[in-house]
Amino acid sequence: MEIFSSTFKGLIDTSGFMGLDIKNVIMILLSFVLFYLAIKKQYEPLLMLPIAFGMLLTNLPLTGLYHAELWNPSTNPYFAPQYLGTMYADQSGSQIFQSVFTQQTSLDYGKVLHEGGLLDMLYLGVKLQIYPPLIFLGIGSMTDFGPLIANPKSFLLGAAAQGGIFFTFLGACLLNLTGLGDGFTLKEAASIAIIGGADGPTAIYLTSKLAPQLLGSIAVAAYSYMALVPVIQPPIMKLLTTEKERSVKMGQLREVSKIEKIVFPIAVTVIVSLIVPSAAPLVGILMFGNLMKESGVCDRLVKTAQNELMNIITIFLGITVGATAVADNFLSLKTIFIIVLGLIAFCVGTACGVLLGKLMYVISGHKINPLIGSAGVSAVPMAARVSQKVGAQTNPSNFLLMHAMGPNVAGVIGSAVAAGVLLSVLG
Amino acid sequence: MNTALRMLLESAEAASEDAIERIQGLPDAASQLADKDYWGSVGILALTGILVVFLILAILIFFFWLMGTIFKSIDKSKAEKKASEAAKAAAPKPAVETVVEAAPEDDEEELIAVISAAIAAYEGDGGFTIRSVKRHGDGGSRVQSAWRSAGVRGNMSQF
Repeated sequence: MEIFSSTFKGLIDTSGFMGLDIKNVIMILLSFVLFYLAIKKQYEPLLMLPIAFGMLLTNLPLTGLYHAELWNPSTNPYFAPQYLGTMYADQSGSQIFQSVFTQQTSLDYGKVLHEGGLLDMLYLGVKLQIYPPLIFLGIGSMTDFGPLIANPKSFLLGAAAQGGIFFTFLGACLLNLTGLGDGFTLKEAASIAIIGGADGPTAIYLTSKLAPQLLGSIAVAAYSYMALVPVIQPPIMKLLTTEKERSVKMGQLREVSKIEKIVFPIAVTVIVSLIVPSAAPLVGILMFGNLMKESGVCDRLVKTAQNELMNIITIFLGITVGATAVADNFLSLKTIFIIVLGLIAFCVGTACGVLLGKLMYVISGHKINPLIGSAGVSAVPMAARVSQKVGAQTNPSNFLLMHAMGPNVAGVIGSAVAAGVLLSVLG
Repeated sequence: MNTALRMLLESAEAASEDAIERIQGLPDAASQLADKDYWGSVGILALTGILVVFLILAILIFFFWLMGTIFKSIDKSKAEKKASEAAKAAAPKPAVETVVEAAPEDDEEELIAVISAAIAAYEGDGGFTIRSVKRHGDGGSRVQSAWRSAGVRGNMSQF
C-alpha cells in the first residue's frame, strides 16, 4: 500500500499539472486559436498548423522538448559579458561616460547537444540559418521568372513595395518614444519591419539572426498577414486608384527564350551577391533552385526540391518556430506591437507598390495598370492573384495575372535584398 | 520647421557606421533611444536601405533590358532569315487547290484528319485535295494565336 501511494505521489509530482501555470494555460489556449485559423479558416495551413503544434508542445510543462534557456545567451554559464571599454559622448559641453559591454550572442552548442530535447535539435536548423534558404531552394525551383524577364520594369514595383519594411523600421523606433513596454532595440525593429516583405522564410532568416527572442511572434504575424493578403490589399488598392486606372488593359508579354531563363538566375546571383553579400544565402539558393528548373537537366533534383525536401523543411521550420513561442517571450506587450506594426508594414508596402504603379501609369502613357504594383510585396502567388481579381472586378475581360507575376517574383528578390541590407548594417 | 529640418540634417551627418555600431552596443531600447545620434542613424539606415534595394533592382533592370533587346534582335534576324528562305522555297511552286499550315512530324495522321475535316466543313462537299500539310514556323510561334489566347483565358478565368 505504501509502495502504491508513493508511486502515485511520484507520478503526480512528475506530471505536467504540477508545472502548469496561468501563462502556459494562456499559451495553450492561443495555440488552439491558431489551430482554428489553420484548420477551419485555412490560413497558410501548411505552416500555421506546425507552428501551432510547436507552440502547444513547448508550453506543456516538463515535456523537455524545447528549452528556451539553452538559446538565451545570458543564461549560458560560460557567458560573460565582455567589457569593451568606456565610450563618451560630448553633449552640450558635458561628457557622458558609458561603459560598453559586448552584446554576447555566442551560444553553447555543446550544451544544446547534450541537454536539448527533440525540438532543440530541430531548432538548430533555424538558429544556424539552414531551413529558410532550403525553403527558398524549393521556391526557386517552382518559380517562373518569365514574366519578370519579359518586363524587367517590374523590378521597380518589387523594390517599391519594400518601402513598407523601412517605413515600419522607423515606426518601430518611433514607438519607443511612447515609453510603452520595454521598447524595441534597432535589431528588434528591423526584425519586425521585415514582416512587410511578406515573405515567411526571409522574415525567419533575419529574425533568427537579429532578434531570436521575437521569432515566434514575428513568424505568426508574418504568416497570418500573408494569409490575409486578399483581405488587406484590395481596399488599399481601390482607395489609391481610379476606376479608369484599374481598367487599363496591358499588352501581351513577349515570350522568353530558354537561354534568357537560364542566364537570369546566374546573373541575379552574381549581381546581388557582389553588391550585398549578406543576401547571398537567400538569393543565391533561390536562384540555384531556379537554374535547376530552367536548365531542364536536373529533373530528379527539381522534383525533390519542389516536393520532399520542401515539405520536410516546412515541417521542421514550422514546429520549431512555434516552439520558440514560450510564454515568457510571447505574452508581452511586444507581441501586440508586433502584430500592429506588421499590419502597418503590409499596408504601407502595398500602398508604395500601387503608388509607384500609378507613377508608371502616367509615365508609360496609360499603358501600365497600377494594380500590378501591389503584387510587389512577395506573398507569391497570392498577391498577384489579388491584382488579377481587383482588375477583373473593374473590367471582367482584363487579365493582369501574368503581368502581376513580374512584380510578385521581383518582390521575393527585393525582400531578400532588403533583409541582406539590414543584416549587413545591424548583423 | 526649419530648425527641425536643420537638426535632422545635422544628426544625419553625425550618424555614421560608427554611430550605428555604438548604438547597437547599448544593451536596451531605452539607452539606445537616449543616444544623441539615434534618430540620425535610424533615418539614414531606413533611407539607405530602400535606396540600396532600388539601386540593385535598377541594375538588374538594366541588365535584363539589355539582354532582352539583344535576344529580341537575334529573334528578329532569325525570323527574317527564315521568312526569306520560306519565300524562296515557296516561289517556284505552283498554286495548289488548298494550302494548309502544319506539318507531319512523327505520326500526326490524326492532326491531318482533323485539319481535313475542318476544311471539308468549311469548303462543303468534295472539290478539294490536300497535297501537303506544312507547319508554319517552328511550332513555338512568337505571336500568340487566337486559339492560344483563348486557351490562356480559359485557364486563368478561375483566378
